[in-house]
Amino acid sequence: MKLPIVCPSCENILKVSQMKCSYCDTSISGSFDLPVLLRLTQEEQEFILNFFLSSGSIKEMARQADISYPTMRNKMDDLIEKVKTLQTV
Amino acid sequence: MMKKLFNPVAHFDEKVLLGAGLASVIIAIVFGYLFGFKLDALFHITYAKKDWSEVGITTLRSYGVAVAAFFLLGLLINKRARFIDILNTVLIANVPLVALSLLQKLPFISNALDAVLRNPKGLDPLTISALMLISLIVFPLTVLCFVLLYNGFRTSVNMKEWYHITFFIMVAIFVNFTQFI
Repeated sequence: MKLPIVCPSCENILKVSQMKCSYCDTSISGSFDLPVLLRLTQEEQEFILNFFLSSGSIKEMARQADISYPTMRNKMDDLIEKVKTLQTV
Repeated sequence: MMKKLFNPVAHFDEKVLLGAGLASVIIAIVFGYLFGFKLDALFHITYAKKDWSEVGITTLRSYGVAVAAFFLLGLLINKRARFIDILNTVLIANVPLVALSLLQKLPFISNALDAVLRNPKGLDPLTISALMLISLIVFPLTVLCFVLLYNGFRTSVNMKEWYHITFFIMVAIFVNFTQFI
């Protein structure tokens, strides 16, 4: 199931309020920030995963996606900017 | 398909683009020598003497100035801009112009252009039809040149800001006036 990260009402980033052990049913309540990577969209998370799986080669990713190197690098640059912004929020 | 046509730099491998671009330069020089024209600036063709050095040097100089100018601008916008992407952008953007210069040498188009030069007031229907055909071809191909240049450069340097686009237009105008240098 897809993890919702944005409030459907006001579109702000959601926080984690409860975590539960599926083995012993222990619950922890609080107000936890989502890690930066989880605050990215599903597509952006898959992009980072693909980057990792292709040993950090933008060229290889471009080949797999059938697009050119600069297009893939631009996607990467845009994502880096977004992650930097999220880190400062 | 249309996306690939209007922005090949975003979709094709750099080696493929470089091969196609260099082939277009060779075609421009060889046919320029045979038919008497040269590319003396970006998107600008003029008549030339049947002289290898004049056609070759002028054509290569116009490409060189354009590549150098856009590469410098590319580095100012994005430090990670690559020379090969800018080179491919300039080479590919000129392909429609090279095609256009060859089309003008088709016998019926060439005859129509000669007829205009000889007697601009007394044109026969066939000549007028040929001229209309030329204008129908020239306009979209000229627009395609600019679209290819803009899209290619935007992809090469990840251009987004309005002032980047302003600088791009200024450099594009500058390299179009290099025939006067």
